[in-house]
Amino acid sequence: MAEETVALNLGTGMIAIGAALAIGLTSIAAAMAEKEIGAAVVGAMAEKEETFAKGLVLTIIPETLVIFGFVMAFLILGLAG
Amino acid sequence: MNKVIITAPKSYLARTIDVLHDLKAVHILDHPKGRIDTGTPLEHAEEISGLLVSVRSLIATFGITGGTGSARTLKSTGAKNFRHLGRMVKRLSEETTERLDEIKEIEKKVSEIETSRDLVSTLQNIGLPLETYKDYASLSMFTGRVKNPGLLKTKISRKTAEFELCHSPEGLIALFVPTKFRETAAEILAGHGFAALDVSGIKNLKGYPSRAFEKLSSLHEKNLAAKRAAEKKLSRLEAKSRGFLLASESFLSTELEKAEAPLRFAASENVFVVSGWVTRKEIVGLTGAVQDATGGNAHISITHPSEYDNVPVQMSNSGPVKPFEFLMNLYALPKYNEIDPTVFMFLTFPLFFGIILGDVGYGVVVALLMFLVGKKVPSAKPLVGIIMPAAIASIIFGFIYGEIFGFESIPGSNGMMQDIPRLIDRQHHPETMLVISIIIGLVHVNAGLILGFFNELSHHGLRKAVLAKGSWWVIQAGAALALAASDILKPIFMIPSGFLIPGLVLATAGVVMLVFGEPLGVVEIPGLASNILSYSRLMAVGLASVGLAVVVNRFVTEIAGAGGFMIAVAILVGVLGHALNIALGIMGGFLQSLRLHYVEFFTKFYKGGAISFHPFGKTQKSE
Repeated sequence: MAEETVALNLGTGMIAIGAALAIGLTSIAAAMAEKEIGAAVVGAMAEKEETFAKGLVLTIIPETLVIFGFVMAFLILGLAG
Repeated sequence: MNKVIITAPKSYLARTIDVLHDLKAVHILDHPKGRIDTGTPLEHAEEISGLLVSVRSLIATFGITGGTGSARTLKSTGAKNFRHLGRMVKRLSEETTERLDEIKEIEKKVSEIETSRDLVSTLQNIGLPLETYKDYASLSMFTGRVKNPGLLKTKISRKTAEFELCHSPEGLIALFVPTKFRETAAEILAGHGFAALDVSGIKNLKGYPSRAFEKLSSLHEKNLAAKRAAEKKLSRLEAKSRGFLLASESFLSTELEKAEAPLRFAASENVFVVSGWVTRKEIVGLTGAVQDATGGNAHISITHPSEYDNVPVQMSNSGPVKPFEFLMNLYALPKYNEIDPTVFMFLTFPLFFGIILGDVGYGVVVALLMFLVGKKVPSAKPLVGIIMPAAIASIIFGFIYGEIFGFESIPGSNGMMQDIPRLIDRQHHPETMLVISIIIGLVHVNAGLILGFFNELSHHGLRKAVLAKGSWWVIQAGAALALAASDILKPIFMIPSGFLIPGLVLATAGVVMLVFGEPLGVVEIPGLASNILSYSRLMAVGLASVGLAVVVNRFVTEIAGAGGFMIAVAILVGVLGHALNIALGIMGGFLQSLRLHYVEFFTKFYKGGAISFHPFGKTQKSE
């Protein structure tokens, strides 16, 4: 009986860790991509200030990664019931 | 839009330019310098540009900002003729320089007085009369600071008795020694960390320091008053000439634009040629006006644009759709004969924003904010025009989700908390939102493909349209059928496994069609799925914003529970927290929604890249 509870909790814990990894790793990936874009955009803005709006949009392009991570985390959490 | 080429004798050059400038109807194409040379500027161009430089430098000197004169006539400047205007500008320029020099002179004097005054106040501590501080025939003087004046005195007295040392307790000294003893004294001083004080600033002063200090102070006051008076004169001059300068600036820049226009024309010895674009409804007016100006001596050819022309475009949306042209300008202008997607932006942009930031409270705050911004900052009008409908969509979705500032229940008439009625419970059933988001994605991306189909149809015919865009529907249908019949989804859709193979065959057929229609499109096939899944951000970003709101509310309730002073803290936390969340929400909603259009929607049909129609004579500011 006691063993079963531990096993269940371990399983749930693994699911939670899986969900956390899905969000966390994709966030790091998005951050790495946005870092490069952000630096390039600031450089472009120094030359031509009108590029700000376009740059802002470009900067959020990699955010899709986190969104996918979020959706995955969400589906993984669904496994826990 | 029509291509226009005007050819006329050079003697009519100036008049033709005037007419074109007044009409504001022709987008002039710059003549590339090639076999045929460009024209030369009109005769006054150099003079005008010189005057313009003076006027602009005066405007910069006075720091005049804001509205340029809208009237661009010589009369609006108050000058009788061009030469008179030149004289007026010159006179104003001289007067300004004089005033500025006067101020600079006084400032220099003030700074000198300040230096002497500081010096005098320092020397006050020694107490000698000021005329003492100078070099004598047989005596040398040192003024400055040392670490320990007492020790210095003993050191010097060991060498000679012929000296006079006056000092203040802080280590300021005045040392007088016979000139022959100068070198030795300097050496001893150097050993005591002597830092010399420059006393040249008081060489014209006499008497005891305290008296001199008073005199200098009153002189200082007098000069400051003089400076204030001079500045007042300058600002009076500025106020007087402000209107004149702004009017001259706009008049001269207009004249300069006209005078330099021939640089954009092709010209031979006797003839000049203007080529450009004109809208259909302006053709009659243009032809008439130019023939009037040239006495019927101009040859005007009007032709339709060919396939290879980069035709300038002017978007013609009106009413509430107009502000959304701003978002198109950010991306790229639609090409001539291409579908202008502004109206689709108007339909779906606020919708997506509302789905993300769906909250009655937040929607109302954003709407009020935009109302205020629209009143205070007229230049932000387009942005207000975009976010206002979005804020209204937020309010509507707030009712659909049943959320007010993240709260799901409000106190009812009987004082009990009551759940707000809602259609979709996104906080507790986000999976519903996920499915809705994906369906929206499917619809939106396919709407893009439909537009792409029509674009291809009008440009390259039915075959290309079916192969390049229609193939995507075949692929989707095949993939959907195969997926529905697969083991994973079979229990939901009840489609027999037998349909798996036909589904795959259909999808492959679609890919083959695409290869024939748009070979490069094949690499985008995996992209289609990620494009559609990308719409799940409608749920995800929205949930993140709700999550933050709920956290803020929980903080507030807990802090307020402590009672007393903590209630004030709770209110502060609530206001700050929700303000932050609203700021993030506006940015997130705006950018994410924009991105769904730019990246997921536009790539399905939109090419863009036209240049903006900018008729000669119309200034950027008046647009």
